[in-house]
Amino acid sequence: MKPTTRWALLFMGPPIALFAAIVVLPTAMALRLSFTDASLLGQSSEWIGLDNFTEAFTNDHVRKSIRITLVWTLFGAVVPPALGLTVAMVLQANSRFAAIMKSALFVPISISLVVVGQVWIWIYQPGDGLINQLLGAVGLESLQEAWLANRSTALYAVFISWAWQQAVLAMILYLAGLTSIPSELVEAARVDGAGQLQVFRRVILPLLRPITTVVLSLIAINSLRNFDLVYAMTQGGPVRETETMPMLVWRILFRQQEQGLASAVSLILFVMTLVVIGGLTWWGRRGSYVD
Amino acid sequence: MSTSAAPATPARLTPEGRARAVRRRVGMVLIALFVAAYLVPVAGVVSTSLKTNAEIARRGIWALTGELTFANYVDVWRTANTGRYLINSFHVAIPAVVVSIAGGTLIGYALAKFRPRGGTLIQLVIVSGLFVPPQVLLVPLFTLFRDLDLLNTLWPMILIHSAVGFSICTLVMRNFFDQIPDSLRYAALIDGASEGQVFWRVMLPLARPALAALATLQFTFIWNDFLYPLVFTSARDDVATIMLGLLNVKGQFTVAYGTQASLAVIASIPTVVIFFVFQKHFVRGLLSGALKE
Repeated sequence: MKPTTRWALLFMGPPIALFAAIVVLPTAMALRLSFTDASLLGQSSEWIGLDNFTEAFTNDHVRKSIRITLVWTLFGAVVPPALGLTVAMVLQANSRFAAIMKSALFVPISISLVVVGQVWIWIYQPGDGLINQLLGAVGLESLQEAWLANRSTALYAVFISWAWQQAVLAMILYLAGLTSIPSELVEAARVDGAGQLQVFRRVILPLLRPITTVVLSLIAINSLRNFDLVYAMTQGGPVRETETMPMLVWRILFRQQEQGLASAVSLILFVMTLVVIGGLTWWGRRGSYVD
Repeated sequence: MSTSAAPATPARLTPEGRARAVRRRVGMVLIALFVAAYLVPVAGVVSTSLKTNAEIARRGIWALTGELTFANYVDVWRTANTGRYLINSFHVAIPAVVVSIAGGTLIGYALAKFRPRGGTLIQLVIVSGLFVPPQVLLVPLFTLFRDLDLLNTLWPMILIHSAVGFSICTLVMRNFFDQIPDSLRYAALIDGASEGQVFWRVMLPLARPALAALATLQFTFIWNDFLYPLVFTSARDDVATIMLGLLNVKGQFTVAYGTQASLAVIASIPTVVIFFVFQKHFVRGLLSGALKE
């Protein structure tokens, strides 16, 4: 054995063993469970082939939660990055505020989703919630709403409170990206007669592409993992209108005790994550000038 | 004052100058809106935590009046397990942060410098851990920890966060050590140092900024985690971490908004402080995972 191989084993062996035990093996076990009718209650389980997956794709609740998760991921890929980039660009043009804002905005992203959920519950509350109070103050009582209890507003309400935090994440990363763009490049484009919009589309956006890939990947992972906020705000309600896939897996596992079906749904989520991340990586590579 | 205000005679401004002035004003309005959108919710929690529950019940959460008092903080400290929650959270976060970073550094270093056969595959498997939804692990791990009799202890969180953290830590540290020239290692080896000494005495001190970035990321992530405590410890309040404690207290004091708000503030202080101290590292940490400089 080469000495470096021995050192490599010594260095990597213990952490890899732990990783195998906590991540790799359980993933394999989840795969096996997804082909059985295993239950948390622990009776012996039988091999049932693809039944859990057939069940998942035909069950209305599962299909709905897939739809909710996809809509969430799609909105998540647009709203927070767009907001974050806009504010980052404004801040860069008014650099006096940038430093103060940057430090202040670490508060929203350092707090947990449970706390974020708590605050937004108070904002959406029907009686003395902030939104309804403001609507009342300007005489728009007719628009007041129990935002989190209404089936047609609940999902958007939860999404907005999530986007509130994710937009800051995007902004901070974009601000770092913008400061790394040499101003000569922008100036040169101006001198060549490019308008404001052209500079943005032809110079700034392409140069930000690596950052955009990071922003979109992070936000996509957060979209697809979204459990804490939904649990804290609505637990998936009203009538499952905000039941994301992670929330549904939790419910199938701990309310219905069905390990097999829970594994199947969680693996569908895993595959969705891989597809989204694979697509983003491909998109990011395609557009980069240097590797 | 008057010097920085817009000139009194707009006629003398070129069209370009006027456009710039308009843009600046629109920018200011945008910044003001943005600040309000973030200030109001945060200020709302803090001010609610400083009002008495009676006052809140009478005037509502968002009323701008009322005497300020620390009564809620005293109250939540005495009547809830607040101290216990905090200790539990540190008990999970500190070991898990240390183990995840240590393990990720060792794997990243070995991959970058010893270049073992199969290294690419090892890296691929470990980094793809980033994309495994926690729910996939939850199903088998719940039965595993139940069989090991570790439910309602802090062990599941410590073990899971340590192992799951290897993914990001390996990615960042591999990229970091790739940038350190091999000649440095060879020079130290020729001087008679062992591989272990090279790693410990030469490489690790260089890695301090990357390690600080990871520590910020990992601590925030682990401290704020809610899913694993909910799944593994929800049966016992005295093993709850602070995030689960928040929910427990919410159930216990349903309409005592002031009490809930003060616990939310307490729960947020550690991560807010760490962010203020290490903000630069945080951005670098996030970016270095994916971008090679």
